[in-house]
Amino acid sequence: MTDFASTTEKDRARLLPVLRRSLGNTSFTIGFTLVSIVVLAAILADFIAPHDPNFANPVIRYTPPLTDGYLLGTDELGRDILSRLIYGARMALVVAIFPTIIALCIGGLLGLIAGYAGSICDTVVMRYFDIMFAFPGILLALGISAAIGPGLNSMIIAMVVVTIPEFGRIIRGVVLGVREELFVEAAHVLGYSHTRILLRHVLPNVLGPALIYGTLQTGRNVILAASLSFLGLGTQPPTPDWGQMLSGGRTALATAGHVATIPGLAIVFLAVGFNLLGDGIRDLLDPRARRGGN
Amino acid sequence: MFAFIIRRLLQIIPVIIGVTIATFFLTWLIPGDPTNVLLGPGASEESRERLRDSLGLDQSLVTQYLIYMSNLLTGDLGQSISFSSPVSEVLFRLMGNTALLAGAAIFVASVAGIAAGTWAALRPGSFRDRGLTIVVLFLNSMPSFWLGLVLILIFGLHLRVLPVSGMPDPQSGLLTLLAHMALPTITLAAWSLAAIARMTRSAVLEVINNDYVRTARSRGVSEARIVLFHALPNAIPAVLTVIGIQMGFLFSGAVLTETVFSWPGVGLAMFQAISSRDIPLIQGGILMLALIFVLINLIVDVLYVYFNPKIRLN
Amino acid sequence: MTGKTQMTHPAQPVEPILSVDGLSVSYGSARQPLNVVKDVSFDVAPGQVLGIVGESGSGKSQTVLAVLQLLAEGGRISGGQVRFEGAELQSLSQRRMRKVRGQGIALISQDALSSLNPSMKIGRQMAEPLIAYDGLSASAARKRCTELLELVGIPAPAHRLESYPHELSGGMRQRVLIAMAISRNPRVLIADEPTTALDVTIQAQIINLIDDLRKELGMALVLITHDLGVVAGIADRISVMYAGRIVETATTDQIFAASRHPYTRALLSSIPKPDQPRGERLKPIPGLPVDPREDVRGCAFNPRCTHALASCTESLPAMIAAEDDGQHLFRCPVDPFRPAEAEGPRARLQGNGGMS
Repeated sequence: MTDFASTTEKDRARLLPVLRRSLGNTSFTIGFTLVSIVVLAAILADFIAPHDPNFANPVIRYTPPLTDGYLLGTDELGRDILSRLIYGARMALVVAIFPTIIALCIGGLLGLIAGYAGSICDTVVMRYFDIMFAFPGILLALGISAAIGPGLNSMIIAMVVVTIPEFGRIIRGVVLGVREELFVEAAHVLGYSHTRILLRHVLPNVLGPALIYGTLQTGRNVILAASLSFLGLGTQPPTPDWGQMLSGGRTALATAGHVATIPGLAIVFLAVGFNLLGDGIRDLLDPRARRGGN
Repeated sequence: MFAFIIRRLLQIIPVIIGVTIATFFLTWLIPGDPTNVLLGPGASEESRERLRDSLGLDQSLVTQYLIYMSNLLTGDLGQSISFSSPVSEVLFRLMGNTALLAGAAIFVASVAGIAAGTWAALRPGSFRDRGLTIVVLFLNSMPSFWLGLVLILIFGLHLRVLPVSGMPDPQSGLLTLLAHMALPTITLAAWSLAAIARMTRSAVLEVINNDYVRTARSRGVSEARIVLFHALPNAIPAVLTVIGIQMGFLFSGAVLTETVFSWPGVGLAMFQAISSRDIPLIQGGILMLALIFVLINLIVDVLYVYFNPKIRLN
Repeated sequence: MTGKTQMTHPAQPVEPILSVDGLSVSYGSARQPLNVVKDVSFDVAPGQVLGIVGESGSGKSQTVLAVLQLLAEGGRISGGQVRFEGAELQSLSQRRMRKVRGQGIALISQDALSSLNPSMKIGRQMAEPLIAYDGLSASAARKRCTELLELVGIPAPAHRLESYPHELSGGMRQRVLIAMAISRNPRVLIADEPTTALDVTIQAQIINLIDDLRKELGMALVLITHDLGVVAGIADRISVMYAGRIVETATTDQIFAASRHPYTRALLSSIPKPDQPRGERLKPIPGLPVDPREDVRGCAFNPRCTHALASCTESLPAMIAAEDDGQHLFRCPVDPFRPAEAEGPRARLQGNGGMS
């Protein structure tokens, strides 16, 4: 539209109010902060972790928190819990974000096809979703994980399979709405290609919901992954993983309660972060859906 | 109404078939020779051959499914490795315990959730309303098994007021049973309570701004009566849907809770089956819990219509 | 239009039963308030009928809700007071206010379908306060409700008690709402657009029913409508509201014979008259109704007024008495009886009139 030089300035002018509005939203700000802390911990793990997360020293097992050198104490093998927590952030983020992205792509695509193509495609895809919805998520994930055999890969596959229908249904709904709107009909009349309609009209409308529900699902995935790990279906030892740390601490609940409770707090921390972030994004993108309103 | 139930029953048939297809495919997911897993490591080559034959593993997927299905219809869910008895027998023996726990949990979650949601909706934006929002956020962000462990830590190990594990034998009386159920019930109910409270809050808020509530107010009807007789009955259908969904989730959430509290139900059995790779039991358990889920949703749909006189009578 | 010409009004009517004085209603924050009702005053004496007329969004319904202390979330009375039988309603406790609602002042709202609880049988809704507060037994309440339904002209009333609202026709529902409003013998009946949702044929029946009940039960009636024609036959006095303010108030005869405010005159000329020559079009009011969110400086009607003076855009015209008796007040500096002056600077805007 305008010349090159002014574009960046314009962008900056547009970005600032967005930023200010975003930071004005309490949910968004708190959620963003919580998630950022975990992300930073994961990135900087090598620099900030006080100990090797896998170094076991049975002599000092079950050291209580606030001991000199072991801020959060040690676990059943005498490993530093704080260090394992920091390194565990990596796995926690991977198993929360990665399945969300894959499921969003596949589910989104199915939803797009179902919503846009309609008729038989829609029926087939929706029947498939209906069947998947007949299973409570954790149950199906448990079955798939158990059948393939425990491990990170099978867990991710299980989580993806479980969340595909969630995204598919949401995206389909959005596409149906957009399709009904006049401008797509008008675009058809003008003879635009399907690709162009999808890219120019449908996609931009799908992005918002995808971001909102993607973030919220990531929060749920934190818990789903922890649950599968807790049941012994997730990553296998000795990789530091919060869910697994928690189940490891179960046996010594009476003598060293911190081993099981601390990783749980980390899970809650991250899940609250993603949930607030998702709520915040929804508030910002769709002010009508704001809580407290009717 | 009757026709609606019939139509709804017919509608779930394809879903049930789909569910069986999905559970059938779990065997197919097992890497390598499934008989290794299905019979356990110590099985003889002869018995493997017999199983291969009876499952039709050398035949097409369709034939395999038909065999699976015909077995299902005769109540044959396979043989559990860890329990050394038929899966159906194990499941039916343990189902009652799981249902007891799930029933108690949905009762607690519904009563507390509806009360909390209504209570918050009466003063939107107030301190208590924000308080509920925060509690709901935390309950939703909390792994139930972790909550269970914390409850065990506080009430069982620290205060020593409640038993933390297992189920007492029937002779020890109702009180002992309730004491054993207390912590697992709260743990299992927590997540659902949050969902029900949130839904009740928004449903009541939506209803309380309706014209007919104003009509009642303009006739001098008290706020308490308005909430009880005007807002809640009209908010109930929406809440009921959530309760139904949550009830289905409770049966599966029992896997985690029963594991934490060693409650002898289907969930605990499934957890034990994971470590012993007892796939038939997992498969059977999933099928059973999924069917319960579908059935509960059917009941909820019927109740939803029942509570909506407008739909019921048309 | 019968029966109303012989009614004469003394300069000072009997003690009003409901008295609204300088009432203002605001929504939103105190810093950026949205004023929907501004400085509204009116009195209603026992047995009297007051018509309040204005377009939708003129603040009529908000005035009613403020009188009953039933403003929606976020709304508040930001000025003035409401007195019922001498008691200032704002200072009443919740409990005492509840006694006023229904027993003192009753409301008939406009959309009968949404104003009835969809999941409660008619009989139960009607009987609720009778049993809960008036000490009637279930059977006594049932008997009373049957009588009430009969009174409002519903056939087979006992049978109707068992119906749900959506099973009744629109006119029937409105009658039920009327029966509910009079069920606790109120002394003031407020009917807020009681006929908007109804067919024209039924509209007149409902209005007549309300007026008959008023006479029979000796209630005062406040009839809110956008249609001057509706109140013409039954109101003793009429107050015309525009953008949250009363712009003219007078006896019904004065309004129809000698209205002074341009808005009232515009409303009058948009009523179809039986003697209107065929082919002559009704005159729509030029421009759009005012948006309550924008605060027009001066007289709110000035953007649509064909007589507006320069001063109308600057300051709010004061209430002027048309005659010495103080019965006829209006808020306009232009005297439409002298058309020569009406050719103000805005006269050329008249061309906008064709837009509706």
